[in-house]
Amino acid sequence: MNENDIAMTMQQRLADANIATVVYENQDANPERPFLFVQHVPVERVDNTLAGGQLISRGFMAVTAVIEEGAFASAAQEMLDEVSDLFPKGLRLTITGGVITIPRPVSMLAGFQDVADYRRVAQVFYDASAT
Amino acid sequence: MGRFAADVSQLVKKTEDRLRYVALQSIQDVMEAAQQPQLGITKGATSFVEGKIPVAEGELRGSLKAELLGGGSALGPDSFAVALSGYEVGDTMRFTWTAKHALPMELGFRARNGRQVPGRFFVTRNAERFQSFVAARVAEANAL
Repeated sequence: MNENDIAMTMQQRLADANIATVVYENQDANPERPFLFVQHVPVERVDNTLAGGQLISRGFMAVTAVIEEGAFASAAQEMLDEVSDLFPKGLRLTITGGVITIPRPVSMLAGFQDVADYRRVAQVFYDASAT
Repeated sequence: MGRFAADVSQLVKKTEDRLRYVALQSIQDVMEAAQQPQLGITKGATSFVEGKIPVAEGELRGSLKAELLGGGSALGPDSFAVALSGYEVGDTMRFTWTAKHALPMELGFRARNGRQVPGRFFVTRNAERFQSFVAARVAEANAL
């Protein structure tokens, strides 16, 4: 189990849902609005066993809905609601050498204007444990 | 009976002291982590890590407002230490980065060249680590 497995599994699930174009971190892309910008943010990795081998990785996937400035903000929220439905609390995703669990509902943050865009962010928290 | 009452009283006092120690140290830990600086991209940095605050002119880091609700507030990069000095267990504290670019820096924004600039998550990432900070300080207090 590694962070790439976690990130790719969660981002693949998001891309497969075809909610909108997905732009990945460090991708040189500026597509037509609306689109989703996705970022993998590991928070901490712990192993409470003396012998090791029971790694738990916690963090979140930040999904930013980007729409044109001046449009109703509800368009951004609708996309994030679909993201929320895609990652319900209790969802388990199997990865190589471990399992990802979604421990709580997706967090919705306040939206804000950015140059000619409007952005709203959802955070999909995960706990990934080695099996 | 008097001896017993004195023992209980001493035990309660010791527990209260430990509670305050854990709360103060944990809050300080999370705020120090959130205020840990990293050179901003506009100042020549070629990469960044999530969880540290970007510093170019220091405006964002210096915009921290620490409030002890009902007990005053302070402004500045180390304002949390000032506000914490009056903290008692049960008090509510609020920390706000008041610079205009605080939210875009936290959550990400669009650069002039059109590229998506990732969020630094200097607040969220450290807030999510709060339970770990508390656990470490509890272990420390138990060893006292």
